[in-house]
Amino acid sequence: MRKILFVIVLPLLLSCAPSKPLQLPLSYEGHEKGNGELINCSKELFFLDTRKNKSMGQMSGFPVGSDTNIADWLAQATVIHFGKGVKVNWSTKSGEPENWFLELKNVYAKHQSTSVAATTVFILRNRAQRFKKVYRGNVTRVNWASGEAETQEVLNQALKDGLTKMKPDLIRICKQNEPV
Amino acid sequence: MKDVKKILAVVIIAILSGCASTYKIPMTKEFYESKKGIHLGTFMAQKEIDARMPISTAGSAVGVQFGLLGALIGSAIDSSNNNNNLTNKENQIAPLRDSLIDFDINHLYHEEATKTVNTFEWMNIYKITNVSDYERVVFDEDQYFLKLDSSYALTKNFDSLEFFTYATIYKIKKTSKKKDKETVLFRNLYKYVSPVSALVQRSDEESNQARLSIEQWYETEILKLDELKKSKRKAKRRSLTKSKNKKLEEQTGPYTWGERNLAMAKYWSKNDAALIKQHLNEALVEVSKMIKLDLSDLKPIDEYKKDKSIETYKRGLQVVAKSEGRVIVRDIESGMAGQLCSLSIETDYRRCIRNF
Repeated sequence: MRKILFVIVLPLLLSCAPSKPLQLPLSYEGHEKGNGELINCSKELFFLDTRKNKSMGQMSGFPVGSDTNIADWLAQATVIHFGKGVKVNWSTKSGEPENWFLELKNVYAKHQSTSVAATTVFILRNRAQRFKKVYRGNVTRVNWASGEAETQEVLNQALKDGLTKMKPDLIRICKQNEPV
Repeated sequence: MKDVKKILAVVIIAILSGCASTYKIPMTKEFYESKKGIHLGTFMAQKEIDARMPISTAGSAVGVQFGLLGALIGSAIDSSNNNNNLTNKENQIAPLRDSLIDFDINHLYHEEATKTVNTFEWMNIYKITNVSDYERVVFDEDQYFLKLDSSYALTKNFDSLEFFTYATIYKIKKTSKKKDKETVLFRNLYKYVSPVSALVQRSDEESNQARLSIEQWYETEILKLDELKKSKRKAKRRSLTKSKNKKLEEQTGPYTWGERNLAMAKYWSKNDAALIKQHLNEALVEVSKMIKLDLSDLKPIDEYKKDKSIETYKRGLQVVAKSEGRVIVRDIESGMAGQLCSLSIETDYRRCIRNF
């Protein structure tokens, strides 16, 4: 009986743990449905990826990477949470001071003990209006198997948390012409 | 029976001698004098400042690297505690992380570590790799590799910063197998402990403000009692008074552990996190000093233990160097014997040998 259990459990365990770096096909579609509360925005947002390191943390000591353009992943999420009324342009430089910039400073998952924590960090910035605010999405959950789907899910949750925290300010920015 | 005793004695001696082994592996005189070409790799895989967290291991930690499915059932109980601890810690440290958002410690670390190693005349550095990520370095040929692997974190109660650098020299030999053969030629740990900051207490102003707001809430609620039926008023009043007392206890008494950690994170993040930046910069300097003092020190720890001419700092710790207000000590007793630690003379020496 023990032998049978061993034979069944061992392959399961071996298949659970990543044995090489995780390459996530990052996708936000299907994670969340749009709630219909769309923002009509008079401003354009310029997205900047200012991450110093492009890996997305580690699971079981292996780096987490993505084979998808991070901008596509964020685009899917912003459409779902902000609606198509918010125009997001993908930018590579900081540009005009009066523009609104959405900087991605960090996105990572990390496995610690039997838990996994994921973090996203954004900065919403407008140099002309001297506006700079950090939005931090944080999610912690039990780490079942350090698997690809699990890592993808916790990163999606952290992205949702960060965007949700940003939403009230974004609504004000979009609706008002005065400095925020 | 005699045989069993003999086997037991052999096993126990083997176990005990294992316990007494030192962490530091000094390099041999031959290797030191050979001036071999060395590939230097400086590693700092951390994305943001971290804090130690209390980890529950009452069940079992077996297989935690494979996630909960890889652990024993006992770990399921621990996991819920650990999950809460991690959630709390991540939330508590957030203000400090936000204030360090544009401070690139990884870059400063690579610069300082590279500069330090480049001053060694006895070491022939022919290649440098800086890794600020979880990347793995792939070796394309046999080589000697000096790995400086660093990390930093606040202590569990957020009162001090600790910076660790693990230094290891490997002889890497390419094999036909997937994994290269690695032989450790040198190994040691360098630990920096920052001066300890006093734990933030709830101020009288904060307590008074909270008391005032609770009293106002209570009075408003009491006034609403008139709207209730007479029979229900007494019970409601009792319930309100109970809530009021609980709120007063929570919001005007000493901070809970979590509240205090959050207050400490806010304390560290004051003035654009100037104090923690100062400690991080000091850590880089102190770790450099320790690497310079230790890397080419070929003397085994056993000889240091016997050497009575060396000044003892505290039990199990020898003085290696002193500078204004700080001391670098050598651990000759703990399981990590050989490690060097830099601490302020006002700091509890046990921070060098225990996890705080």
